[in-house]
Amino acid sequence: MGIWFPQDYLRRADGFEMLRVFTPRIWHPNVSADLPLICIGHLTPGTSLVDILYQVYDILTYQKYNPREDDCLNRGACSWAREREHQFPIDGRPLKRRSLQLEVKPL
Amino acid sequence: MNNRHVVVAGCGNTGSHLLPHLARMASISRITLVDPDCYEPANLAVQNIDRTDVGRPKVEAQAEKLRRIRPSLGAWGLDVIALQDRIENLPRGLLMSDLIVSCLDSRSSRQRVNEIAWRLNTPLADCGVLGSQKLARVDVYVPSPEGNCVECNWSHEDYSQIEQQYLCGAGSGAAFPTMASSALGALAASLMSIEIAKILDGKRGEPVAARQVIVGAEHHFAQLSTSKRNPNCRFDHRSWFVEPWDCQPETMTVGEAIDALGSLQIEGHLWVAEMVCAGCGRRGEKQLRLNRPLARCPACNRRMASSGFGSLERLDRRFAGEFASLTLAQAGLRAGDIVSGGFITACCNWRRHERESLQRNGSNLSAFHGIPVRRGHGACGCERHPAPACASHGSAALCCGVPVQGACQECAG
Repeated sequence: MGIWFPQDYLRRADGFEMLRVFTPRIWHPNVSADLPLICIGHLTPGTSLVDILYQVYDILTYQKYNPREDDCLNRGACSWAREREHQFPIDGRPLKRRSLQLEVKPL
Repeated sequence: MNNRHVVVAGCGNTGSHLLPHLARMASISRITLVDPDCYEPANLAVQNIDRTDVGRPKVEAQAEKLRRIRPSLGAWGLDVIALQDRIENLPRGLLMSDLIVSCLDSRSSRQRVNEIAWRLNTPLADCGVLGSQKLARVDVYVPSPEGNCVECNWSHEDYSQIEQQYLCGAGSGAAFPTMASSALGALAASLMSIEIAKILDGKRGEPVAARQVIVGAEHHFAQLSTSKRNPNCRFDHRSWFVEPWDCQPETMTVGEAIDALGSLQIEGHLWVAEMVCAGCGRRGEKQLRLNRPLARCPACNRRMASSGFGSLERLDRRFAGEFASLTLAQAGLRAGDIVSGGFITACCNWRRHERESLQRNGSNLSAFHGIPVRRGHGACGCERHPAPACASHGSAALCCGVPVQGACQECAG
């Protein structure tokens, strides 16, 4: 997983540009199987790095997923996930204590 | 000063009401219209259009109206340039003007226009309407070392509300409808045109700068407030010092440009080497290009994304590599693009007179180079339509169905 911050990332956040997956063949409705794309949902300017990582962890462990056929990145995984909703999340543990709050201040 | 150029971004509710006012201002001789959309039947209810405009690009419909009020021919001619695109995708040189007027409805577009106005060191007039409380608002921002910008009073929540578009196709990036009536849009447009006249009358800086006027029609109040620069503003408030660059994008190659300037950066755009489509998994052919976000998948029409970490802000010889022999036009540059090189990275705020004195002194401080815009026939400013020649006179007559400036009346008729 790679996160690229543009110079003005406190002002704009474009998931098209900022988020990349490097590990191929992740089986998830919101991660593309062969393209380096992942959709983590709402990404706002100044979202802190830890929050992005939490979001990615929640997605990879199926704590969060959006199995909508019309706006997913992997249709096969999408119908697969619909049939197995009772098995999710595959890992329910939190990544870390949630109290960590990093304040982002502009320079 | 009777030859002012005004750029109007957005031809919706306020924009469509504002434009006739601008056409009647003697000090304006050129108006550039920017809007990507076409008029829809729903727009008839609130916007200053008629039924024949529905389905047409907003900029073309409005340009035609402006030319009917004031044709481009004659001493008191008005030159109207229609650009059907989002303002952030346009070469910034096309937007160099005396004033940028923003009649936009989304936070993200306002942010983009704010950035463009500051980079070009151009005053910005921004308006807004709020239908639920019948509020009309006009703000004027003038770039200066202490001046405030649109984002100066934005909080973290404001940034969180910037309209988003998602990879998976959800969210169009469009704003919520303002639910404003035609009358409220016209009120904002009238307020705005009065402020615009003040700015163009040469009262730059005072007393219109940093002022916000709000008229509340529901509870009958008017409010004037002034704003200051927020030292913690997330925007950097930089302006460019632009000098013309003798360059033909169709013939100059990327390698030659890098040799001349050290490196190539088009601020506001990224260089991308490969595109992929999230919708159908299609991979675009490997080709260096600017990410003017126009690129849509030819198969499923979804917006494409750049593949991997291949995107770059500044293109140098190493990254250009195999693409060095492409021409600048093939790499996505257009006339009017403003290019910064690699030798100088510093640039700061210059006021206009300081700019001019720097130019006179032949100062070496320039960091940005504008590709000259060639307006051969002037009327529509488009590059798609070469000027057709009049058979009997050999001069250009019509472009996009519009009489061309300087053409003889006989040809134009």
